[in-house]
Amino acid sequence: VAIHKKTFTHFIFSGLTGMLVLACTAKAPIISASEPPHSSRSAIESDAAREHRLTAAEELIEQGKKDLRNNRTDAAMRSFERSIQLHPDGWVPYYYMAEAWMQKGDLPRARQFNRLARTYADQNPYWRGRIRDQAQQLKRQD
Amino acid sequence: MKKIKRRRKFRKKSSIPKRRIPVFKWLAAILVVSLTALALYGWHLAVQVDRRFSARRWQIPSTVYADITLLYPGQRLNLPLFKKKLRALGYIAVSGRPQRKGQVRISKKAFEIFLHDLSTPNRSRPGFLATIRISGNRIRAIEQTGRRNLLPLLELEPEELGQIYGSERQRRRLVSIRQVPQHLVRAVLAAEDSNYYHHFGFDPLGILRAIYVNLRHGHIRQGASTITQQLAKNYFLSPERSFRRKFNELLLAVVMESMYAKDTLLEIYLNEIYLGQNGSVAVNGIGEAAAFYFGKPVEQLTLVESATIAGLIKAPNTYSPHVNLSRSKKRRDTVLRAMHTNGWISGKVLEKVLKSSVVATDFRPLLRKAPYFMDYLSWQLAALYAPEALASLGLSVYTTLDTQVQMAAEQALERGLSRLEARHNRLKRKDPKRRLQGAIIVMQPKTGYVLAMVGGRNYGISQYNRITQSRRQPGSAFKPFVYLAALDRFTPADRISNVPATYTVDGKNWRPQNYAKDNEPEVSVRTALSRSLNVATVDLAMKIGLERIVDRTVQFGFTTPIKAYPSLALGAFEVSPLELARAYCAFAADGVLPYPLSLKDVADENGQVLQRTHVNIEQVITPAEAFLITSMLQSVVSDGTTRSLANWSIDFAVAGKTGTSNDFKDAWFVGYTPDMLALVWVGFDRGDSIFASGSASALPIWADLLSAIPHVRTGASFHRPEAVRQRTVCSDSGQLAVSGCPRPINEYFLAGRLPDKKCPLHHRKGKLEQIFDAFKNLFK
Repeated sequence: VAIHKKTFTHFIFSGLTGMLVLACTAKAPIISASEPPHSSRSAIESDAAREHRLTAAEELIEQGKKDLRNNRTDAAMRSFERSIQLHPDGWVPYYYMAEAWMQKGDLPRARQFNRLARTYADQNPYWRGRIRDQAQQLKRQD
Repeated sequence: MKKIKRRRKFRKKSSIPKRRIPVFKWLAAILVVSLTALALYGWHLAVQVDRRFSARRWQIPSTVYADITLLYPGQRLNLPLFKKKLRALGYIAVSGRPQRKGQVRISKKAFEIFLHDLSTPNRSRPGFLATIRISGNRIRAIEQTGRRNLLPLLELEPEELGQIYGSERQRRRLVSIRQVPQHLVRAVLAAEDSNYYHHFGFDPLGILRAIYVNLRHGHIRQGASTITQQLAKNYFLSPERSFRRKFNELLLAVVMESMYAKDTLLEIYLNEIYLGQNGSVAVNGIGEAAAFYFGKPVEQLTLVESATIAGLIKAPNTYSPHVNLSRSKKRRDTVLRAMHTNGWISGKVLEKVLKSSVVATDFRPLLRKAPYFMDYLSWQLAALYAPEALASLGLSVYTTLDTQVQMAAEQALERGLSRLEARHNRLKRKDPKRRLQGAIIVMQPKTGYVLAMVGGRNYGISQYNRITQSRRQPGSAFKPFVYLAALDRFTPADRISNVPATYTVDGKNWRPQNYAKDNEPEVSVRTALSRSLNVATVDLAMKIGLERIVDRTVQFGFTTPIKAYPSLALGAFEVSPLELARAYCAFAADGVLPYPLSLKDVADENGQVLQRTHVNIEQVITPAEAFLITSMLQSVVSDGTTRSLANWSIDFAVAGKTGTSNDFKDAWFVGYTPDMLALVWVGFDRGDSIFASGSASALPIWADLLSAIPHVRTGASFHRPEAVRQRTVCSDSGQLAVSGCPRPINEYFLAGRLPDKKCPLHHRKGKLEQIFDAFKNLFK
């Protein structure tokens, strides 16, 4: 019984020591300072809902592109503005807003929208290329 | 001799037989003179008629419209608000499937809408039957009924906000005679002048008949004025009852008939007649009457509806279906019987229609919607058009307003202010003009669209627009601009002093204090902003330089002078709420400052666009700077002064800042998502204390508003630009976290200002590192 008691005491002691060492060496959890806890559970918008919203925004862009082709520049711009309403981070409406301002001959405004399109398209190489080409075109027209 | 000669002469004269002009010649001469005079007078009248009819015939007030409403699958709706919107657009709820434009069937799971035509300068489409399927409070699908065609997007026509009247307060929608259904024309003729197409301006037989009827009854029971005479009277004559006026009326009628075709005169008459009253505004013409009484365009009026309108001409306010349904029905039936007598409807049809009841739309009083916004708009329109032009040219003015957001804002403000008054007796005032006030503006940060504007609690009592006209101290709501100016030298993780200090301003000592007790001697930049610490903010402002703050703030377009006093850091100068909201838009819109846009298009009567305004933006700060400020303002919401937002089920990305000016004179909250920004101000016009902070007074109003307008929130999160990087830092030192740091946090940094040192507080140096440091110090 005495041996057992000693072994048991050793066992408990070494267990506690181990836990203490682990606690001291363990990394503290990292808290995100900038993302509020409730925004991270941004079950805010499901993927399906987002998909629908982007489709609606696209529909407006298509309307605008059609108007732009038919030289209905102002009507086109209204569609692009509405598209921004549905997809605030979408670069495509800004790109076409720049096109529309170019069509109207207002290069400073075209440049503003081109810059914005560039801000949002940072993850998309294809559009980055198109936006860069547009920027160059704007430079040439200066 | 002379006498004799004179007598002879006399005799000679009298002997000549006297020449007499025959009576008929006299009469002929009088006739010629009279006819010439009549012809001349007729010619004079003809000139007047021509002048009047070739110029503008009516003063048509300009109409102001809200923006088109976008609906798409996945969108959340506030269903009660959406139903109100449909009612305001004139949709009539029916129990069966909608058969005509303007009808809607509402069930728990769907809205079946027969859409009105959409006709704006930029978009037009004919009305069609659509089904909006609902699940919970979300749109599940939108389909074109019958075609099984799923639609990605549905646009509802713009809602009328109001009209801009001149001295004549008349509403009128012009219609062409070609648009008017035949049964309506016949109903009007049956009611007023069944012989219209057969007389030449006046109806001699009708006059004789009227004389006979009136003599028989001993009082005036029947009139004999033809439609042309009524037109002549309404257009050219005073309402006095005299022979002269009657003569002029007859003559004018003949002149008009000789100058214009019958259809033209009838068209003018149908557009001219007075058909009722909506408050202080007259309802004129059948176009307006069709919309006012039956909520539909004139082309869609049925036989019974047409007879009801025709019956109104006699006494519009007596026979109005909005006033007395049974009287209206009785009069309508008289018209229908007259139509039958004239052979325009068969006995069978008459029998059938007499059984039907009068079904008019609910009386919709002409409330001035969004009155403060309308004033703001009028001020802009005044720069473009003369008041007479706005009141008479029938312009269509298209704006950015969202009426659902506007309704929600008005309700949230009233509820919030009443709540405050109920809680604090000290805030109650007997004089309605001195009551606790508030104001709200809602904007779309990326476009600058003004979605709603509530300039005060009650427009009827005070027309002072506190959003555009007032200048108030923003208090801590100004702090983000101080922190923005600091981003050149500080990161959100940097530590700054929170120990109270005394500053000398104009020879006087000034010692700012924190609102709540906060004994931490040092805090991070992020914490200082999220907890709105005055002491730390002033310390930071003094470190970066007040001139630097002024320089950066000026970029945001504030028109009030900003002076470089230390109290500037705490918002102790006045700003316009509109300008403050606009400035915050730059944080929400990746550094882009939009010009507030409320007026979009102005079109003339024919739909030709006269004026357009497009989104106008200016990049004032980098997207990375805007993101850092937004990120810190998100902390205000998550664990700063506005943590209580969590109680309002605000479960989407929100950034915002409260503000309270000295002695609680002003309370603010400016909050935003990537899609919309709302500013709420609460205070007294005379500057009395409201005894509550921005988080206790303005924030609940903001939260109430936001939860009521799910349709404008996409749920998107804030965009992190490439130039912003994330690093794990020690919350005690603000430097790169090491394994010993007890509270490491992820923090955002500008790409050019990344922390490069390891946490000095918890980093245990190895022997090699110690030797290296010793060498480094030696050479230093």
